[in-house]
Amino acid sequence: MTYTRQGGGKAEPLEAIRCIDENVERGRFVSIVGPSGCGKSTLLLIAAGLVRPTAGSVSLKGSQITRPDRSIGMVFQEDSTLPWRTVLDNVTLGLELAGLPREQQLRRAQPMIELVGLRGFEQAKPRALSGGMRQRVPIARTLALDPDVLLMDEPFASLDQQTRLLLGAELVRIWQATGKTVLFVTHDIQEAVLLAQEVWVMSYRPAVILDHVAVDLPYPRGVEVVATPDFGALTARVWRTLQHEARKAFEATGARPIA
Amino acid sequence: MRRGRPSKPPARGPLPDPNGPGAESQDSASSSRQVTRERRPRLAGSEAAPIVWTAVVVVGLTGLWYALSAAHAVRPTILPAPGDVGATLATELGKPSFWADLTRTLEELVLAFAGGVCLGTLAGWAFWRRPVLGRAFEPYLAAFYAVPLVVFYPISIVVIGINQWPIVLLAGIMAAIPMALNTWRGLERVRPVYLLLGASLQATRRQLAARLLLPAAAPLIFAGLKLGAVYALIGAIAMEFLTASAGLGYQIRYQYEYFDERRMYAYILVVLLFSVLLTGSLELTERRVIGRG
Repeated sequence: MTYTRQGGGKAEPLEAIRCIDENVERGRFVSIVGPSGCGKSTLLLIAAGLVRPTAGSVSLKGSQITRPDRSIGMVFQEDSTLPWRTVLDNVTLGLELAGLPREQQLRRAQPMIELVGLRGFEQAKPRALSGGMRQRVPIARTLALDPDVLLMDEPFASLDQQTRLLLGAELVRIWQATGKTVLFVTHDIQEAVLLAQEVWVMSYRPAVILDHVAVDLPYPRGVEVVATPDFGALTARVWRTLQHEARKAFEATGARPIA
Repeated sequence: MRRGRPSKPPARGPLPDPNGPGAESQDSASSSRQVTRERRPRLAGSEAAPIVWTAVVVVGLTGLWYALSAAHAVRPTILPAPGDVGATLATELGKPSFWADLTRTLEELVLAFAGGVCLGTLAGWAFWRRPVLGRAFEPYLAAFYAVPLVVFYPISIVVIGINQWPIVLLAGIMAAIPMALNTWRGLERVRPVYLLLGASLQATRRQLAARLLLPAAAPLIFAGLKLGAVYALIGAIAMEFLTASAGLGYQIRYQYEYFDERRMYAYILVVLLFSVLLTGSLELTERRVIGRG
């Protein structure tokens, strides 16, 4: 699959993704790491059917994805909670748009609210929650639609380290409880290795997958895993591959502002 | 969202002070809990205080009026005594002609406002959907803001006649302009992630508009509504004042021409009250809609 962004006006077309041809087995947790601006988000948007690839295709369970599909849930990098709705109404949004009766919306939303640890905050407005609590809302909203695949675009990027660690552990627990397939984009190598069964290392533009790192560490992975030699070896391997690409990204952004 | 902030910029600093004794207990209670104080009491204070102060202002101005006329500082032909104006107003309220004039102005205003809001919202939506259109119209809309559209009133009387319709038309356009600009800006400022969210949840066009776009743009749209209402009121009264066959503005002009200052002031009071009710009810609606819960 490839993606070339057609620049509007004078901007040159940008070859964002050169060739990515991957297969994810059902129920796998895959992390994708890459330098900033390498097209990780674009890759997820394509996988979600929100952006069309220039060539190639995405398919899920044998059928092609050409437009958004309710069996693919997306958690965005930016805060996507709606500030004028309560937590509960944020979580039911997808169900509401799907036309479910209110009673069913509530029945499906409540367990997800509990699963992400927001019980008791149903009637709160997102603004009243801390960053870490608020970021759980879109996760619950996505899970409430019961998708097969969960695409997560740096969902914890705006959070502090401790909250990230906690939410990461929560995410693994949710993943194990629900058995969803997870594609988790991050720029944090440790986070990628700590959470996933497999880490894909993406190159700078035009993006390709440089390395697949299988993470054979047993779950649940407590924070102490970080101190083990296995973990160190895995992160070192990812970083070795990434180093060169990160420098390219750094130099590219340093030389001229990215459009 | 961040409503109400622009109109009361010093809400954080000086406001708790004139609050008097009520503010002190708040301060001492929450000084140990900085966080809650930051969020909650400011809201409570900014809601309660203006009402009190508005009343103080009204009482003060009325008192000043009484004092001036009691001291014979102003000739009654310029400013009649408040008691006289009040009495005149009371008798006017008993006349069917008063209610006919009030109804006329109300009708003009409602029609102009409703039409203007619909037109403005649609135009704002169109400008947002088709940025080329928006860019083409923006300078003229901004310029229209500055032009008192009343200048077109004489010619529209010639075309339409002396009745409520030229007033409805022009006041409607006056209301439509801020509505269009604000709807457009409000939609433009909707965070892109909401559009992505809508798309990923497979929202239909109507769902996208009703559940995501309009609520996200609501603070600016409401600002447009309030501006539009005020513009329509100013326009309607001014045009009635110029030439009309009925209406509150017409009455003010008429009584002025007949040197009946008491009646004139009675009608001016009614217009003032009218505008206070109008803006107040819009403000309440805004709070109800945007500040839900």
